[in-house]
Amino acid sequence: MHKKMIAAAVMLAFALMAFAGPVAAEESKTPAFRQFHTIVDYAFVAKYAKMPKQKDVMIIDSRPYKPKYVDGYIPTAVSIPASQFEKMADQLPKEKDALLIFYCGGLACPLSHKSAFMAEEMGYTNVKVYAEGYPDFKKRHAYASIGLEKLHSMLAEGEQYMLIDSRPYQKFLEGAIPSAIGIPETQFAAKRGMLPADKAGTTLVFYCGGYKCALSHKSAVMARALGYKQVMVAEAGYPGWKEMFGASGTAVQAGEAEGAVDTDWFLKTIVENPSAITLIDVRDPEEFAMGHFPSATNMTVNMIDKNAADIPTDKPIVFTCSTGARAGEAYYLYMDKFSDAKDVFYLEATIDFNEDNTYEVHPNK
Amino acid sequence: MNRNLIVALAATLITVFAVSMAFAMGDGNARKGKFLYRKNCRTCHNGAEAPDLSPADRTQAEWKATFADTGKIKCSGDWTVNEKDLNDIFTYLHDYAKDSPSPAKCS
Repeated sequence: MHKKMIAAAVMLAFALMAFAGPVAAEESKTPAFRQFHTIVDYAFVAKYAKMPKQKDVMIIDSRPYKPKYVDGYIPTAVSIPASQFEKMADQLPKEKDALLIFYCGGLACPLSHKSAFMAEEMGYTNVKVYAEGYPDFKKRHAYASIGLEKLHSMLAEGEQYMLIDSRPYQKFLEGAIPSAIGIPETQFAAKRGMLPADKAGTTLVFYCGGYKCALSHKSAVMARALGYKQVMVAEAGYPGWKEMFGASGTAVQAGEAEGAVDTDWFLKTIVENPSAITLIDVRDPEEFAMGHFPSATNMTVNMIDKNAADIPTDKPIVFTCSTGARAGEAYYLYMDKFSDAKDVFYLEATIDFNEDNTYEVHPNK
Repeated sequence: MNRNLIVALAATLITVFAVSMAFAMGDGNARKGKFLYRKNCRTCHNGAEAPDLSPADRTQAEWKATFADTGKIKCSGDWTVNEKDLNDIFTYLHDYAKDSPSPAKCS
C-alpha cells in the first residue's frame, strides 16, 4: 500500500515537471541570456548566403552538428557548435577583420550570442548575430543546405525525394550518389520535364562537385522559381559522399557466393563503363601478358599481400584471375587486412583470354 | 514421467547434432580456405621450415584422413584457426586435391 502511494507521488511529480517545462519556456518571451550587441536580419544574411562564397565572410552555425546542422543549414554556413567553439576556433578566418555572422535556432537560442562574444574576445572586429536564426531563414529563403548524413538517411529510409546531380552529364556517368538523376545545370530548362509533378510534396535535393561548386545552388534557385516548395542542396556533393560513404555511387551487383560480383553485371560494366571499377587481375605477369581485360591492372596475390594499401579505394574493387580461386584468395586477403572495406568483390568465373585481349567468360557452377 | 522422456529425447538429439557437426567436414568456403591456408599454413609450409604442400600433393581420401584427427598434424598446437576456418581450409585442400576435377596447378 505504502509503496503504491510513493510510486503514484513520483509519477505525479514527473507529470508536473513534464508539463511545467514547455509552459515556462513559452512564458519567457524575452530571453534570459545576454544579447549580442550587433544583430542582423534575413536581408543582410541573404547577401552572403550564396555561391560563389565571398572572401573574408563566414557564416557560422552554432547549433549542434547532429541533428541540427546536418538536417538543414544556411547555404555556405560552416558548423562550429557553441559547445566546441574553442576546440574548432582554428576554422575561423585568419583575418581578424573578416565578417563573421553567427546564428542558431532562433530568438530563444543563446548559442550564437555566446559564440559571437567569444569570437570578439579572440580579436575579431566585425562580428554579427543573426538572432532570428535558421527558422526565420528557412521560411524566407529559396532553399537550405543539408549534410550528407541527412541525405544518406533519406536514401536509406526511402523518403519521398528526388536527388539531382547538377554536374555535366559525363561526370554523372563516371560516378554519382545512389538514386540520383543527372540534370546538368546548363540543361536545366530543357530537362525540367524530368522533375516530379508533385511540387509541394516532393523534396528536391541538388548536389554537384563539392563546396566550391555553384551548379547545385543555381539549380536550386531555378527549381524554386518553377514552384517547388521544398528545395535543398547537399553542398558536400559527390566528393564528400565518396569520402563519407566510401566507393562510388556505382552500385555493384553482388553475385551468389560471398564477395562475388554478379558476372553479367561485371561483363556489362567493363564494356560500357570500365572506369567505374578498379579491376585487378591477380594472375602472374606471364599469364597477364598472354591476354587480359583491357581495363585491368596486374597485381599478384603476393603483391597485394605486401602493397594492399596502394590499391585505390575511391571506386569498387574487383579481383579476377582465370578460375576464381586466386581472385577469391585475394578478396579474403584484402578483407582480412581491411575488415571495414566496402565494395570489394571478386569474379567467380572461368575465363579464357586471347592474346588480342578478347575473352570468353563461363560462370562457375 | 512424460517430462523426463522429453528431456532425455532433447538431450539425445542435441548430442547427436553436436557430434555430427564436429565430424561433418567439407562443404565449406574453398575460396576463403585458400586464403586461410595461405595465412595460417603457408607461412611454414614454404619448403623451408616445413615441406612445400599444395592441395594437389594428396588425394581427396588422403586429405580426409589427414583431417580426421587434426591433433596428429605436427603444428596443430600452434593453430589459431577456429572450426569454421578449419573446415574452409579442408574444403580448399579437398576440392583441389590430386584426384579432384580441378587439381590445383600452383600455390
